[in-house]
Amino acid sequence: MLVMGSSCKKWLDTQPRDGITRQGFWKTKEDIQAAVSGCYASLLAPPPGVNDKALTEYLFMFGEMRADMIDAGPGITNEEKDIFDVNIVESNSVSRWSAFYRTINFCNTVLDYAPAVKDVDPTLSTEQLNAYLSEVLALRSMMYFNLVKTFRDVPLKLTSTSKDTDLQDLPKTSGADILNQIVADLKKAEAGAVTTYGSTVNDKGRVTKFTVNAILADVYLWMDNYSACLTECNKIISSQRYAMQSAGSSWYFNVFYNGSSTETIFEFNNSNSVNNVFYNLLIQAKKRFIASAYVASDVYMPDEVDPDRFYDIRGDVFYRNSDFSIVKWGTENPSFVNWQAYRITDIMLMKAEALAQTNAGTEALALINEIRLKRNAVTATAQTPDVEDKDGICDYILAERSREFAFEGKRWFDILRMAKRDNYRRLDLLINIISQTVSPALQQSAIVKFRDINSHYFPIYEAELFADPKLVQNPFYTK
Amino acid sequence: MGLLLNAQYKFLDRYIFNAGIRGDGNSKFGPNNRYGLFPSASVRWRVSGEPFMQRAAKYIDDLSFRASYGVVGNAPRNDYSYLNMYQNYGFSYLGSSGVYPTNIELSDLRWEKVAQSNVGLTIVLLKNRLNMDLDVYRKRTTDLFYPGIAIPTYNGYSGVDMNVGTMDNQGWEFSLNYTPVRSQKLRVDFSFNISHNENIIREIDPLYPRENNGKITNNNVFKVYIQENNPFGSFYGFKYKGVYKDLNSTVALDENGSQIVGPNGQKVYMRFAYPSVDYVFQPGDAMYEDINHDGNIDYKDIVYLGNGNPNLTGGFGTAVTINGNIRFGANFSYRTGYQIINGTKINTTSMYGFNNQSTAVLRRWKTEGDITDIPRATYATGYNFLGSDRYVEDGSYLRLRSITLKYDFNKNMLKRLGIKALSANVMVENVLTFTKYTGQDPEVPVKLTAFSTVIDNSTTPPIKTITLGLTANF
Repeated sequence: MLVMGSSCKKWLDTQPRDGITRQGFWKTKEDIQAAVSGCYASLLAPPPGVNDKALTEYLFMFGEMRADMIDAGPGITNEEKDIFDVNIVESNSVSRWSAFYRTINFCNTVLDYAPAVKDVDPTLSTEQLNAYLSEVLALRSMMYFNLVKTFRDVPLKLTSTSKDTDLQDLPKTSGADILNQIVADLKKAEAGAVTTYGSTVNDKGRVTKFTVNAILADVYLWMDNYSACLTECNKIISSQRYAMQSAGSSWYFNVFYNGSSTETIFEFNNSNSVNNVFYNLLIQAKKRFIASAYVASDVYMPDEVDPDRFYDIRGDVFYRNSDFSIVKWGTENPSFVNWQAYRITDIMLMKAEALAQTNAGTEALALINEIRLKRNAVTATAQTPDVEDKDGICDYILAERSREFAFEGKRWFDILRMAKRDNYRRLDLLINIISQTVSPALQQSAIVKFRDINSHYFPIYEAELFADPKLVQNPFYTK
Repeated sequence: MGLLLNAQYKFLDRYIFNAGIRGDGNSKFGPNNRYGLFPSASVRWRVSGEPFMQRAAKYIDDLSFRASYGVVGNAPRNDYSYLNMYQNYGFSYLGSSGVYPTNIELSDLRWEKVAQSNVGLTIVLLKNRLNMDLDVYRKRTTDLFYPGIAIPTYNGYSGVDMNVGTMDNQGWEFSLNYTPVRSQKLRVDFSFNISHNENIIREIDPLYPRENNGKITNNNVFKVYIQENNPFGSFYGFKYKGVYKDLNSTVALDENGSQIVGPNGQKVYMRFAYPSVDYVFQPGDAMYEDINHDGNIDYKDIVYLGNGNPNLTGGFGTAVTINGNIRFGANFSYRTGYQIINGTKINTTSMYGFNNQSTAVLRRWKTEGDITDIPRATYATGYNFLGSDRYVEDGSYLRLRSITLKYDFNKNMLKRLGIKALSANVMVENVLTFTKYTGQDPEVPVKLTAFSTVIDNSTTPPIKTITLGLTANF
């Protein structure tokens, strides 16, 4: 007989030395703060060891690639070229939502486990807990809003994944239902969010009540709920905390290079964290994207009389006329220009759009002209639509937005939002941009594809369909 | 941490039992699955020792049945992978360091169990001159580990470690040793062995990838699929029919062999991967079989091409000893029943890049009307070296592995020289190979996983060597 062995049950319950387990975490309010910071950090870069692009890169690509203001640069990949040519297939690896859901999962983790800290840490007050929960609720809503704008119907996961038993196969939820969920969540967040953190940098880089108002205004406008949108916009404007900066040589420096200016309502703060991803995308020799010819010819038209003395301050600093590279996000390597999520001009133009749709055209035009005055916009780009002409005013707003938010990941969604209004009454807005960046040989097929409204959204990536049998692909991509 | 209990019992010199049990605890698992119990048992029954076999005792020296069964448990490679861990992001956001959950808690991760069962028969006949062994075995791995299986990313993570299924490694072995002549002057030995082994997936989780990476519509890709109850090693690709000799031969044909005509009476030419790639074949391009006769060469036209796992492997040999001091031996080894992908042929006839090519490309297609088997040269474009049976060959071979000759010098003669023993030997290795394979060496390493194929890239072959030796004992 041969017997060997030794035992002790507790001895096998080892804990790691280089990190902390969930059972050891969630004990103090500082833990919640660290987890919330983790959610913000995930906006700037993927976690260490995860091989994925940063969320900001996806925001830029999803918001600009299908529109008319960026074009393929020397380093473009074949898959990205296919997206420019309206030739997206479900195996295109750009069409992935993993970065958004990572942030959503981090936010869900805070929502699931932070409330229990109150029982363990007596120094955590209810207001502080609600403030943290509002921050992550707003971030999660912003992520889902981007998913709805890009994919339309996506799985809705409102609980965190912490155990292998939490893994589930979800079907898609319709975009309309998700938007309702977002509105409900943002209303809850508005109640708990703070108005200020006591420092400017924190007020712009973290979620405040006004961030929630801004996201709500954006969501209401997407849902064509103009009166609600106006209410949210007015809350921000009447707070008098945000104002446009005057035109001048330091405008770009204050608003973008330094960031955290009076114009910004919410930004992803790179300056005090980590460099942004845009040097490789936009500046290096093999850059993937450049400004399109449309930008020079129609967006920032030079002044007809004296282009050297009268020029739009935005045209000069957002892109380089010599080689069409996009310099808005910085030209240095590494660059720390913050990603601007919402600025006061965004709110003003959203308000103008809502006003135009509710027969308040005069007020809408006044807002547009206020911005144009502050930005030294040239007369060549001025338009004079009739105050009754909703479409004309909206076209003017669209044009002004292209100047104000060039390369900020908003262009495609602006066009789509205006085109899909009233059951795609203005589908030609989408058709008209095809000639700007689609290869001539493929323009006809692109026009045909855009007539199917399902083609306006990205397909679900094929690996997701394989891993979840309940997911059904967008019908345009199964033809 | 483990505890092992083992017992052996022999009864009447013909019943031998051995049993053991092992209990293991491992900190790499969650609290539910930390402990595992692994039994093992084996038995040997010497039939020839039975009373009813007495009469056959003069013919049969030994006849035994053997059987054994044992289970071993494997733990995952990494510690703490089952815990839900939080780590630092590496940079802080607005001065506050960020923490995030790195992985999910694996409460359901179980031991990987490997159960090995073996049944064998030993026969010894003719006064120990004929020895035969036959073994049939199966090694079944249940709850097979797979690290990082892809899960839907809306969970926030892209992969999770899981137990995914059941895999068998099974086969049989037979060996024989026969000494026909055994006397002072001459002794002759023969030996022979043959075996067969295969890996089969019995059950697999639906999240496990079902095919290898790579699109069949890219050059130099062979597809491998996971199929339950089918052995590993099978690969799929196109059927190669030669080269389109002129424009007329690129017209698409239907099942009856007549040319397909379009609705306006125009000729329909063969295309590749319509509508995604949509390349129209040109004269001189490689011609692939259009299995479904739709005028389009794509994934629907791939067929089974072969299997890289040898059906039978083994060897045989002989040894002759004359007068006790001259020894001669020869050994052969063989493998049959498998196909090799000739990777060297792909690389040296593709004409795709700057690599040196073989002289076969001198007979490539150059003008319309040329009939040849090498397609036209297309630098960095074209689909002329897709995974097809153009590169698949039978890899069976019989190799004379070694011939040895040894001579022991007469001891009496040596005594006078003061040497206790002296022998000289000559050994020639890898003498001859009989095979139909056109590549460098058919003995390509066969290391098959669920998604690999046997590709010969002409690694250094075993070299023919002649060794001369002299051994002296003082």
